[in-house]
Amino acid sequence: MIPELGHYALVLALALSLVQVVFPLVGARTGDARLLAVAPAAAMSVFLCVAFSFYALTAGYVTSDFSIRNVWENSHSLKPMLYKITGVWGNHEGSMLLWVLILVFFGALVAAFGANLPLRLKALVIAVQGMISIAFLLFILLTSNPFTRLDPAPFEGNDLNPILQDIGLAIHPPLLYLGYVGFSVCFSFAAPAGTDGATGAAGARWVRRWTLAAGMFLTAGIAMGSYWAYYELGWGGWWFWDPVENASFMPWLSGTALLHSAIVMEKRSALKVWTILLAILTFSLSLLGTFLVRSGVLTSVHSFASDPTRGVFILMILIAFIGGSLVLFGVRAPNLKTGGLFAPISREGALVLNNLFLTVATATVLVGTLYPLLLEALTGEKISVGPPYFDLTFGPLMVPLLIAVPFGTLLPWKRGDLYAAAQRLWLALGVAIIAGLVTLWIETGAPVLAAFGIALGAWLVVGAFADLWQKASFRRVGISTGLSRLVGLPRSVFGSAIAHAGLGVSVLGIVAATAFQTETVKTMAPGDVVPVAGYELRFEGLQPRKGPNYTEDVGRFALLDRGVKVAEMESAKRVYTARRMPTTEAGIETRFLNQVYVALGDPVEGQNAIVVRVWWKPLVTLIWFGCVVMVIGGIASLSDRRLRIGAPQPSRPRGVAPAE
Amino acid sequence: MLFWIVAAVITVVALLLALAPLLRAAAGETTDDARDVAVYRQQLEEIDREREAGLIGQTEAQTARAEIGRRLIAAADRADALQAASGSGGRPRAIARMALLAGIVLVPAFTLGSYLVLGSPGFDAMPLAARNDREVANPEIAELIGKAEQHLAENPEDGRGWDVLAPIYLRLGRYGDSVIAWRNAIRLLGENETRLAGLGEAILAAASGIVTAEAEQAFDKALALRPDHPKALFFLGLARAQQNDVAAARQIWTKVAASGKDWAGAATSAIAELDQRNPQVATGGAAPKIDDETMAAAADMDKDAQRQMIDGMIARLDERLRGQPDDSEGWKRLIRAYVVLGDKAKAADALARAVGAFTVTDARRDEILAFARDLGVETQETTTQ
Repeated sequence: MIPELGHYALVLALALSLVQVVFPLVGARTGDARLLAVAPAAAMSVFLCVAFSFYALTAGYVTSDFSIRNVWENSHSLKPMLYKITGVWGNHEGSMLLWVLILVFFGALVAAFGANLPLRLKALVIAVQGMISIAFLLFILLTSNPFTRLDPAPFEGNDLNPILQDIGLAIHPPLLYLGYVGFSVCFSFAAPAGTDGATGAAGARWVRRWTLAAGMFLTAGIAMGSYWAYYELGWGGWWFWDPVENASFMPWLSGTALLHSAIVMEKRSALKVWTILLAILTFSLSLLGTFLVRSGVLTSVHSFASDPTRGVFILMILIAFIGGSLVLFGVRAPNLKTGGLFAPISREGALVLNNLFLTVATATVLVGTLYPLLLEALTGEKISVGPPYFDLTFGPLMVPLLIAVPFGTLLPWKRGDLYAAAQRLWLALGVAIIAGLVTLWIETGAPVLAAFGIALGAWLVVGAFADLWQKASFRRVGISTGLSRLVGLPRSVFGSAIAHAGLGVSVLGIVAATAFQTETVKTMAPGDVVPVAGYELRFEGLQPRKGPNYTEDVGRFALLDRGVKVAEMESAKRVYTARRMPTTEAGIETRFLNQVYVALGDPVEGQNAIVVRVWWKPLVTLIWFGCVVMVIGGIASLSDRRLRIGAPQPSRPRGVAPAE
Repeated sequence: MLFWIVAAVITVVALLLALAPLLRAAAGETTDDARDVAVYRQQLEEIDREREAGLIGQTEAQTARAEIGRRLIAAADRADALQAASGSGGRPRAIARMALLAGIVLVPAFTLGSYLVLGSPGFDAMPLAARNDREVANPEIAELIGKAEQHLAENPEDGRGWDVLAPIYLRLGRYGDSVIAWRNAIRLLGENETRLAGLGEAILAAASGIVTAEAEQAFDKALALRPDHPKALFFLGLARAQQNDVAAARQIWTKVAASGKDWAGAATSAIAELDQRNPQVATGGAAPKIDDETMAAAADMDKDAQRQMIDGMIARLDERLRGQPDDSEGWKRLIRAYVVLGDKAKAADALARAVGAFTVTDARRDEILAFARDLGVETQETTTQ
């Protein structure tokens, strides 16, 4: 009964989503407050229905109910419980259900916590959320129904793709979806642009808050996906400019731009039109990401079973939402009131510069991602746009942006003084130059570009705190007053400093791991030793081993520091029995911030030896550590009280007229 | 019934929750502008704070204050104007009532209608644990199988283990595994009639009920060892029936039925079916899809006419697939039909065309190849692979 109730609840959610869209729109036309008030109530109701539906599917996975086709296709009765649960979204149908669950959850959040929003705006925003829900619920019910049943039911399932049988599946997709779908709320605020929507004083605060939250989740999701690919795929790389990665990176870039322009809109009521456009573009890129990954246009671990009808359906959703919102934007944008004025050298100006670079960078990634697809569709010619393209286009765009970051936070609003700001950055500049020189000194003959990259990272990390230093003004008022000032600073100031420093940390990791990594490919017999950046790696031998649902050949290694064993490492080649699928399990040993990465190749015919690839990856952990720091910065900023209240809460019972 | 009651409760609760605002007395609401006024006021306070902290210059603060102040006054004016204008409204009341009615009627109607089309009402959940209790009458069966599999993975040369596991796999519907288990048992322990008949049964089950050449060979071998082996005899009868040799099928099955042993009941009902129906239909869903009406018509015809009709249908399917080759189910049906009719050459030809219709990367191509291999049909390409 539970699976069918779940199916029923999903259909009911679709019907109620129609209510969520139609009633408030009629209410907005006729000015009927009760119809407008249906919007938040319906959003709650839809959320409960979808949540029940998701519970029903999860229950099917947990109890191995193979009468549900989706469970039979993706689960196995002997699979560990964690992977039974994560398997719910480790497939196309279930992951779309998770997508919608998060979407309606955010709708419900707007309904629950939108008390400080004008009712009309709140209702319209929720109505737009409802439109997105309708599109995706229809998509699920018509092309990707997870509740299709099998009669007679098989007794055993097909198991989950072995690459996905990893703790990463429990974390990466939900985080990524929280990010993607979080931008839908910004979109919903932007879509009814005009006097309503994001441009109003209250709306602007919401847009900034949601962008921040979504950006945080997206950052964490992308970092998690990157690390997962790093240790699971066994290629030793953490970013491949693969179209699927780009699909999540583009919303991140434009979302970051949106975050910064939303600050200007909130604080100074400027850049309204631009912010609205960015909000639309960011969510459009999220949809595009879903489309690229889910339509089967790209084949990867993410494409699961692809089906052309799904691609067409998502394309239609894409066209309807992007086209529709852009048309609405075109009609309404000219009516938007222009905001406050500002000089080119000012905080506003710096944020415009940030936006300029970030959107151009988004465009280059978009071109690099879509061009091969278009070319193949039109001429049948297959080309691959890889790292060389992105190194030449994306890299140079990032450099001036990163140099400018510390300046931006130091410039005051409306009119600033670049020279004064530069004076406050002498410390950061000094540290950066020293870092660069030290790099050249340690890695004799290091490429100048790499030294410059390290200097840039140091510049960002130190420069990020120049703003705090200046605001505390220790030198002028002394240590104790300075400290109390520092404590009294709003959390969002700390948030931006921490996030910018996190960016610098990631840059350090990226530059070091790219420029100074060493790779050794060697045929090794037991007892052979290969040097790795001051350490020695000894191959101990290869032995077969059995796991619960796989068999593997484990290569065991010892990491020696001047002849003393400091760590044991294991790297394996696995074959999963159910699907006869081989995977590589890389051996990774973290030494301080650096990592030794070992992957097994093929055994040598006729000899007791195997090809071993060994990488030394200096400072590689900083890449992900920086992302974690960025997220912490986001949390600090989000916890800022001023951002949370938005507008004072009217102290009166619900639904009763205000005393004014 | 319980399902519908729970579904109705869910619907009512969800609807009540969604439409509750329509039931409340009409309530005035703060206008947008009144709320904006509050936000602008806060912005003014923020400017003062920033000024105190020295974060914004004196002139800048003043300009910003003036800017916000202008917006504040505008918003306040609009709010007052609206406050004055609102107050009268008989029409919204009627609209709300209509909306309430529409919601109460349309939402359940839409949900019920769509669900009846999409869902399978009344289809119970089938958690594996409960099914093991009910259908295999042994709660630990999955665990036992798991243990046996583990044991065999460690000792793959244990013939007894394979012998025990093979019929269990068959019963659980894991036909492919059953075939492998029987083959291992035969390899390790040698042929006997039980293993050979079991192998044949597993092969035919894997080929969705078609007695393939391979299966028939297994049954023949079993019968050579023990000519009255009931299972082997029964399936040999099925093979004859599928090859359209009704007389031979009837003769064999009569023998099984007369023996009074294990398969006697099955043989008796098979004969009854044979008498009642066209021989092709006795294969249990293996024949090309024919709807009940044509089948009834076919039953009335004599044998030649039946054959003619079936040939005609297959020819039409063949023709259609030439025009629209992008139909893997159609191809499977055609290949199976030719196999049932015993026309190997045409089956192979159909397979070759089917394989040509899909690209190498298409999963459906592999599916068709595997399907044909199970039926014993091979093309040049499958053998070279």
